[in-house]
Amino acid sequence: MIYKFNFTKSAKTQQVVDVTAIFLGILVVWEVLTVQLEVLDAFLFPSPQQVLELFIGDLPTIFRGLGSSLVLLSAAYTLALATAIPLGLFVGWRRRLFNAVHPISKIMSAVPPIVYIPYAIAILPTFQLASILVIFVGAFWPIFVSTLNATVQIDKTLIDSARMLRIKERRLLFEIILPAIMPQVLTGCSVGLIFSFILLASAEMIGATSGIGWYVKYYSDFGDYGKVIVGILFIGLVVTAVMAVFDRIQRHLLRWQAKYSAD
Amino acid sequence: MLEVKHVSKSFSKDGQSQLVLSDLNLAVGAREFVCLLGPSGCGKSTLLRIMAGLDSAESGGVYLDDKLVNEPQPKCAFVFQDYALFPWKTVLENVVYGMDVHGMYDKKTRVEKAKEYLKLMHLEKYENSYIHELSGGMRQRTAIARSLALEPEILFMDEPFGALDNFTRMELQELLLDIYSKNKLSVVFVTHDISEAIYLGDRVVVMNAHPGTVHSILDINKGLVRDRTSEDFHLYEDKIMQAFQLVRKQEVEYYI
Repeated sequence: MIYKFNFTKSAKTQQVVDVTAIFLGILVVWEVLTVQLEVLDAFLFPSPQQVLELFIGDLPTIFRGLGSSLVLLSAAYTLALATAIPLGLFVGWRRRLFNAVHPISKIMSAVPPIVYIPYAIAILPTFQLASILVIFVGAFWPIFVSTLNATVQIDKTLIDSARMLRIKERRLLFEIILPAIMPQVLTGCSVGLIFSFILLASAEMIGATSGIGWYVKYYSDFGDYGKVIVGILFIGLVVTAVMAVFDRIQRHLLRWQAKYSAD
Repeated sequence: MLEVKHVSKSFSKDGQSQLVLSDLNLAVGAREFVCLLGPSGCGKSTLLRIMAGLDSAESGGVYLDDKLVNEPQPKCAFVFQDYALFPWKTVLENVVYGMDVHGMYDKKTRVEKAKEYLKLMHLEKYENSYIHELSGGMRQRTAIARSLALEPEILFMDEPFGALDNFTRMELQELLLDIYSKNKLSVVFVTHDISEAIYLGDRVVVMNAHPGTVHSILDINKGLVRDRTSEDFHLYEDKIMQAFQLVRKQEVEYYI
């Protein structure tokens, strides 16, 4: 297949070697600048070893924080998936509804969800609810808009093909249109997931008493920049891990496409 | 019996209404192979879609056994030029799905039946392939298997072999005739290929363009045209070309 972007085995090994080399290079520069030459201020720039020690020492706290963060994130994201996809399908399928909703959704989705945080905290009884709401809003719009647009632009022959079967509307929406637009929906879901993380961290930095965003904010208030770096690195690792899982799911759902068929 | 009675249809283009089909009448009998032949823009595909219930006529109507067709009918299947297969399903799943929607048989029988039809279309080795792995000819064979699995009484085909190369096209024409002779079904087949129409059809409906009307209907003696290079085959071709005034045009050029 021409389209398939495939690493040969040696190219893949080469990539691992290169990435490791860059990573080690950064570590060496960091080590040299902080410990060997001492050109960087030790208060603002702790050495790699200090950061590693802090990281290991604080693991229990960090993981407890991660737990509470993931609860917020998964509650809000699941809610966004469960509402945005069916609504996007339904509104996209009904021409009149689409014409009415499309301009409104354009305006609503243009508002950066971060600006809702203070208001959400004010109107909702707990911080948890407020952050779930804000993360939900952040994830909802990209998923909804991508589902909506893909439904409107769906290949009409596929619909005709299903109509010839005298299919019921519900089956048409979920068994024909949804799988057909799955590539675009997943792109929206991936954007929504990244937005979720940004909003999660922002919300926690503003109002939480635990969580990975809170951790960074809390220790920067104390000027403990070693722990701030620990928190930043840890968030990077978590987001990478979650996106890797997302990527696996995407590959599985789109295994019928030429570019994913190797798996 | 499928009857087209006084069907007219127009499309609006750039704010102007354009008549595509004008007061068109046609009847397709049971177990008949009818080809709709005409130049592009003669409304043959539009007519086929109206006959299948995918589009509606502006005036007049289509009647299946005296019942007005205003939506796709049961016992009818449609083969599209660009296949319209479900790419997220395997070849086998594509064939099974229609039977599932129609509530035909139990799950196990559906799979067995689907495998039979795939074998008929020489696709048994590709049951578990996804659509993107198939060539154009194999995709159309999958689409035909999917339609046959519904055990239709009428099979609508909209230029099904139009996107295929000559060799594949002839192979599929052969296969289609074979299926047609073994099954109790009518076929309404849209094409702009004169020899394809003669080779396949019991009757060829020659259509004019702007607006689409029936110019003439040619009964084909199937005993005579089994051979595409025979004298009689060319006689039919001549007749149709005269209908399109292709022959006379050449004569005029000759005299100049």
